[in-house]
Amino acid sequence: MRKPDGHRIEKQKIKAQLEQELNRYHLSAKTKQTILERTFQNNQPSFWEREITMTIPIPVVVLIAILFVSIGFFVPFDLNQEQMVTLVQTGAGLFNEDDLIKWLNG
Amino acid sequence: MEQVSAMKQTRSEERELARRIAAQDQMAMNQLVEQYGDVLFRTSMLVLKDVQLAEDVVQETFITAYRKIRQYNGEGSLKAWLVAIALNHGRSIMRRAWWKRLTLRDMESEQLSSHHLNPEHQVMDRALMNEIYKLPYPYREVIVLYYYQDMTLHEIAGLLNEREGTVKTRLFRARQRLKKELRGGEWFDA
Repeated sequence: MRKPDGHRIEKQKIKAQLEQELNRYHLSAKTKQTILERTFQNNQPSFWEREITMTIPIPVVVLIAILFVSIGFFVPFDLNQEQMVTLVQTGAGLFNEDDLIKWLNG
Repeated sequence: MEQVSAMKQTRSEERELARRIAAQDQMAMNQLVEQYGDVLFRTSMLVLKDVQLAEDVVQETFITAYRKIRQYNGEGSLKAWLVAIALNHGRSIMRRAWWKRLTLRDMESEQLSSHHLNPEHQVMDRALMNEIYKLPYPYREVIVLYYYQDMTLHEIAGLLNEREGTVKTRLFRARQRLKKELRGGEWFDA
C-alpha cells in the first residue's frame, strides 16, 4: 500500500536536514590514500577468496562436521578382523601373539 | 518508466565497476572510494558517534569490499552492499570499543566539533544529529538507514537480518523520541 504523501515529505525533509548537517564532513585525503595503499600493497585476495565466492550457511557447515565425526567414529569398528593382531606383554617386552606362538613352537 | 531505466543503467555501471575492481584495476578502486567514501563516512559517524572510529570503519569497509568484490552479485545497489559491510564492521568495533566508550564519552563531542569549519553554527546546525546521537544504538541504526540512506523497511530488515516488524517498531520508537526532543524547535511535519 502506498504511504501517505505527508510521510514521504517528512522523510525527504529529514534527509535534507541530515544532508545539510553532514555536508561539512568529508573523508580525509589521508584516509583515502591509506585505503588505496592498504588495498593494493598487502591485501591481495587469497586464492580461496578469489575462487570461492559461494557462502555456506552455518547449518550446512554443522551437518558436514557431523558427517565427518560420524565417519571417524564408525571407521574403527569396520576394520578387517583378520588383519588385527593381539599383543602380548612379556618380561622381555611386547610381542605379536602369533609371532610369539610360532617362535615358541620352534 | 524513466526511473526504472535509469536504475538499470546504474546497476549496469555498478556491475562494471565491480568487475574492474575484481580485475585489480586501481583506477576503479579509486573511483569507488571517491564515489562512496563520504557517504560511508557520514553514515558511520552518525551510527558510531566517533570520527576516528568512523574513519577506521570506512577503511576496513573498502578493504573488505576489495577482497570480497566477487561476492557482489549486482542484484542490489553497490552502495547498500557497502553500507551493510560498514554496519557489520561498526558493530564489531562497538563490541571491541565498549571500554573506550566508557572512558572517552566526554571526548566524542569535542572530536566532532573539531571537524567543524564554522564553530558559530555548531549548535544550531547539528540539532538533528545531536538528537540522533542520544538514541540507543539499534534506534540510531534504523533512523540513519531509513532517513539518511533512504532505504525501505524491507531493505533495512534484510540488511540488519531482522524481521520487518522489529525494524518498524524500532523506527516508530526512535521517531517518537526524536519528535519529542525536537518539538521545542521544529519537527518535519508535512
